[in-house]
Parts: sequence; structure tokens; C-alpha cells
Amino acid sequence: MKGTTRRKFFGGAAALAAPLAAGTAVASDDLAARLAVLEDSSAIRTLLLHWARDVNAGKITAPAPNVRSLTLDADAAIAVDANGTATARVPCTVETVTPIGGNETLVEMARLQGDGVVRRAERLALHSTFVKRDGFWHVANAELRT
Amino acid sequence: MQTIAYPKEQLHRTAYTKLTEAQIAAKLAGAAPKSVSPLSEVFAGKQLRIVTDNGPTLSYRFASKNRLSVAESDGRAVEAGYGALTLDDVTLFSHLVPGTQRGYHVVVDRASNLACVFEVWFSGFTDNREVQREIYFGYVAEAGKQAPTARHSLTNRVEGKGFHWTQDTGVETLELYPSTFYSNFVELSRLGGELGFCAPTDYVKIDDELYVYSRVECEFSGVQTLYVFDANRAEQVGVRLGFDASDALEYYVFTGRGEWVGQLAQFERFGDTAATPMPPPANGQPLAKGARRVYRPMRNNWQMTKEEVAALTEKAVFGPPSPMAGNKGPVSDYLVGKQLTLRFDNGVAAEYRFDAIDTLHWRRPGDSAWHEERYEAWESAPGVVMFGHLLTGAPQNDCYKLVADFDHGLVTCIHGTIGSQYIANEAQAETWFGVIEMAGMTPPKYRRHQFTDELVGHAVTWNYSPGLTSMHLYTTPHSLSWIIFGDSGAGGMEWSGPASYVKIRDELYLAYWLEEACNGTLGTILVNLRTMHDCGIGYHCGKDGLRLSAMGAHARHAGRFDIAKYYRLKA
Repeated sequence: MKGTTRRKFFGGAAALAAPLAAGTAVASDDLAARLAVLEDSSAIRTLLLHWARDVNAGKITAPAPNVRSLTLDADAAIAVDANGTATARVPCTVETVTPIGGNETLVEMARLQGDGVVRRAERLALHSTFVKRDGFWHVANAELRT
Repeated sequence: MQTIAYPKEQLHRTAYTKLTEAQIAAKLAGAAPKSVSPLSEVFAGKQLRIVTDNGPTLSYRFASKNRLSVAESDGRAVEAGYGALTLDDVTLFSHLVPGTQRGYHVVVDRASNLACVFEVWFSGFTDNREVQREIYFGYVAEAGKQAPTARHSLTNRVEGKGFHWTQDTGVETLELYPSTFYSNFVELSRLGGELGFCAPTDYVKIDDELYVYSRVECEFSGVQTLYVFDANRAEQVGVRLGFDASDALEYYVFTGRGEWVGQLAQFERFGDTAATPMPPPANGQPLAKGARRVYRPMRNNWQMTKEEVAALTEKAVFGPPSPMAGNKGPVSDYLVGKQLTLRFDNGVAAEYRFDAIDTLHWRRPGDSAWHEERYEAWESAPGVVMFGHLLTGAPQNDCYKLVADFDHGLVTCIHGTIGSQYIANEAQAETWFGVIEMAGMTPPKYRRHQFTDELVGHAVTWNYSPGLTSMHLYTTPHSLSWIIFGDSGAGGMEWSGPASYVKIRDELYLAYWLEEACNGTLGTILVNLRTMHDCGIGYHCGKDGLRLSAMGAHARHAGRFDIAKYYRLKA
């Protein structure tokens, strides 16, 4: 693992179990680095969950217009960089509620009764970047891709 | 001697007096409901204490069949006149609270001891005459007995039903319930049955056969019609409260007998029998007392002056796609290269030269100059083409919407103009029948497309684009209603306008509707009940200009009311 600054963890703890079990053959500094990445990944994973919860609660801006809810569908694939940044990719279901444009009578009446929107649920991938400041991870950017 | 009493103005054209609170108070003073039928004495000499869940407790003493005293919660008892009528175990009684502009319509199911209370009042909206209401569910308290846990409730179980009602007063109506919070009513005897109208409506379930219907004619007279009805036997007992077009108080209880006229489809999920509750305000506040969903089109500030219409320069002719055209069919090149004359029975004729799929030239016979217009055409059925265009420079921003049947040499034109005697930017329409003259075609001399009542009573859903679906209910030979579906598939907001129907071929109909006193649009569609697809053209004049636009939607049958027979003239 020496010589690479980017470490990827797919599936979290399970993926780490085998190398840790062979701990006697691993140098202590490498083990410490692995543990640090594990801690970073865990923190980022938790951060992502909280971030999605806050998006759904409307506390923070959604990564795309008209997003009503965003559900993380799987564990995130996280890559932690030694320079204090990280990236994550996670499949998600995104529900959007897009207002129907126009001023036709039907559209106006639909709006009046609380409708007049197109509801859609899509499977997308959330691509996020993170930065670590003062020992804490923060979401630097998040975008939805097909 | 005229046998049908047509009004000088229909409901949407009547300039109802803006009654003041003082005028209303004066008209209500001492008022009690009248009745043609004998009043019920079921409560005479008795006391009732009605407890409601989120409203008042009403303590009644019924001195006789038309006098009671009522105490509201901890208030002092006051005496009032009342009227009661019964439908089996259910009693409806109504009274005002003296010295106020309030009153109660109370429905008591004596078998279950459940009660449904409509508190009603005037002077609660900009239009003081519009009856306001709040519904409370509760029960009749009995000493030594536990309060029942069941309640009457709002419901969607009335949705889709329709009845022809004849009151003991002689008033005859068609009342259709295609929505969970609106309804249609056609005043057959009061207004001659030309047009159907819509009003916000509450539907309450008493049991699987008995329901309460309550509508308020918002944006019109503001009068309330409430009745308990038995869906099986088509019987009703009800009350009418409000002010008529001449501002006279209408306050009477009535009985009625009806005829079940049909059942439309419902589009909620199977198992969904709930009502469509009024959504709470976005600001998190509780619903205001009396809150209801009301379409108030004349308050949307869309009306223009003649000068504003004359000054319009913006025109959008088959411009960018609108949500109303998301499912429109392919534009047809059927007309390209053709030269023909459309000759109508009213003497109007137009020569056409179709140069391209979107460009035509037309002129009057004898004229040398051609006028170029943008158009779109759709071939709805083999040989039947609908197309439309503006008549640039015409005095009333005129448009033609035409259906030409090349297999039969027939054409029908909906001639649209902007400006009615009421509103300067409101579209109006005339229907012209005629023939196609062109090389190789000999048109008929006598046969024409014809007005029809074959669509009357039918309901058809139209999905225009994702998220935008409505249902047309062809309510009378001269009117059409449109119903907006809610997220659950339940019928919701509803409105209506004058309309006309022309039969082009079997299962192929040309319909137009005017959104009079609404937003002024003239909608025109060619309905193909074989492909279950329409093509159509919207024509609208607003502050953003004159617009001629394509429409297109996928259809589903939603059922039919057997009502055309009520509109036919009889000896």
C-alpha cells in the first residue's frame, strides 16, 4: 500500500476485516494509516447520512433543483486522499417535484389545489467531495449523475 | 306561451349585488326555514344535547315542530324558528341564531345517535352574501350512556354519482358529483337547463347508503344547497339558504325524489375510500374556520380593457410547446400542395393554398391578394384533418379552427373572435357548416356535419403531459366541465363553460368550450373515441398577447351519465 496516497473502501468494515486479521505481518505505521482511513471513511459515511437527512428536511440546498427527497440506496464507495480530501459515490433514489410551467387554466387550477407538479423518482448516483478541516469532514460539493 | 324560464343572464354573467352586512342582517332578522312539505315533529317536545369533537356543544329544546331554543356551549339559550324533515332514521333540521348572521344545519341519525353539524354564516368573505360553513362531527349525548366512538366523516364514496332531483318545490335539477370537493349542477327549471355550473361541495358519509351533500355557489349567488340523500332510493331532504339573484332570502327545507343517472369511474387506488382533505397552509398554521378550496377565476386579474386588447402586438402562433400539448399527435402534411375553397352556409368562403407543412395562404373569393398565415394540421382519422390559423389584420383578432373531411367533402369552422360584451379579451365562437370545393371533389348539396348531443353525459379523462390530467364532463348540449385530478387520483377542482358539440363521423366529434368569466380561452378539440386521442387548438388573449396553440392528450373513458334526455325539447 506504500506509495499510494488514495485508498478506496468498498463495503466498509467487511472489506477491512481480512487485512486487519493478518495484522502481525503489517507494519505498525501502515496499520495506523489504515485505521485512520477507516475512521475517515466511517466519519464520511455518517456525514453523508446526516447530509441526506438535512437535504430531505430542507435544511440545506439539494444538489439539484426540485429535489423533494434523496435516499441513499447502498453503502458509499469512499476514497480518502492523504491531503485531507475525499470523494464518495453512492447510488440513490431521488424524488423530484417539478412545477408545471405555463398559465393555462388547468395548470392554474392544479396549482390552486396543491398540485400542478410532475413527480418523478429516479435512480441516480450521488458524487460528493469532502474536505477535512480542524479534524472534521465537511461536504465540499455534491452532484447527482445518471 | 313560453314553458321554459330562461334567465336574462346565466349565473356566470349575473352581476350579483354586493350586499352589506347591515343589508344581510336585515334580511335575516326573524327568518326561519319555510317548507312546502309538512315539517317533521320528530323532535317536538324533546331535548337534544349534541356534542361535537372540535366545535360547540349545542343544547336544544324543541318547543314544537317549528320553534326551538338553543344554547351554544356555555352560552345563554335563545329561541329561534326551525324546520325539520326526516329521511327514515335521519333528521335534518335547520335554524338561524337570532341576532347573528349564523345558523346551523344539523343532521342527526337517530339510530346511531351520531350527528353532523354544519355551522353556517354570512359576511365571512369579501362577498358577504356567500354562505360560509364549518363541519363538526359528533353525537347526541344521552344521560348514563357512553359517547359513541364512531363518527360521520368526509368521504369520496359519493364521487362519480349523479342524480336528477325534483324537489317538493317543483325545482328540478341535475346534480353530478365527479369530484371529491366540487360538484356540477344544472338548473333545469330555474334556468332552463342550458348550462351546467360548478361549486365547492362537501360530501359526508352517514352510512353506505346515506350521505350529506352541501354546495355553496361561490362566485355566483353564494347560496347553499345541503341535503341528506339516500343513494339507493334516490330520496332527499334538504335545506337551501342564501340570497337569489334579486337578493331575496331563500331559506327553506325541502324533500325531493330523484333518479339515479349513472356512475363515473373513480381513479383513486383500490381501497382508497378517504376524502381529499383540505391541505394545511404552507406556513404551518392551522386551517382557518370555514376554509375550503374554491376556484375564483374572476379574481385573477386577467381581464383587459378594449384599449389594451387593441394595443396588443405580441402573437404566439403555434409557438413553443405548452403542457397542454405534451401528448399531441404528429403534425400532418396532408394539406401541403392542395388548393381548395371552403364554402360555408352563412355565405362566408375562403380560398386556400397550402404551401408548406406550417404555411398557408388564404383569400376571399374575388380578392387578388393572398394572406400568409402560420398553421398546424393533424389528421385525426383517415381523410379528416383539423387545422387552424389566425386571420391577420381581422378586426377582432379572428381565428379559424377547421375540421375538413376530405372523404365526404364537408368542413366545419369554429370562428373565434376576441371580445365579448362583458370582457374585452374573452374569446367568443361561432360554428359554421360548409363544404370543400377542390379539383376532383363534388361536395354534397344538403348533407352537413351537425350539432349532436351524443357526447352529453360522457366523461373522458385527458392526459396532456406528465402531471397534467383532467376529466371532461359533457354536462349539457351547451356546456362542458373540466375536473382536475389530485395526486391520489381523486377528482378535485372543477369549473365549466359554454360549449358546443359537432358530430364529424361516428366516434369522431368536434367540441369547443369557452372559458367565459374564467380566463377567456376558446378551447377546441377533435375527439377521436376510437384512437382515444384528440387534437386541438387553444385560442387565448391575455396580457402576454394573442395565442393560438396546439393541444393534444390521451383519453380514457370515465363513464357516462344518462342525462341527454333531460335536455330534449318536448311537447
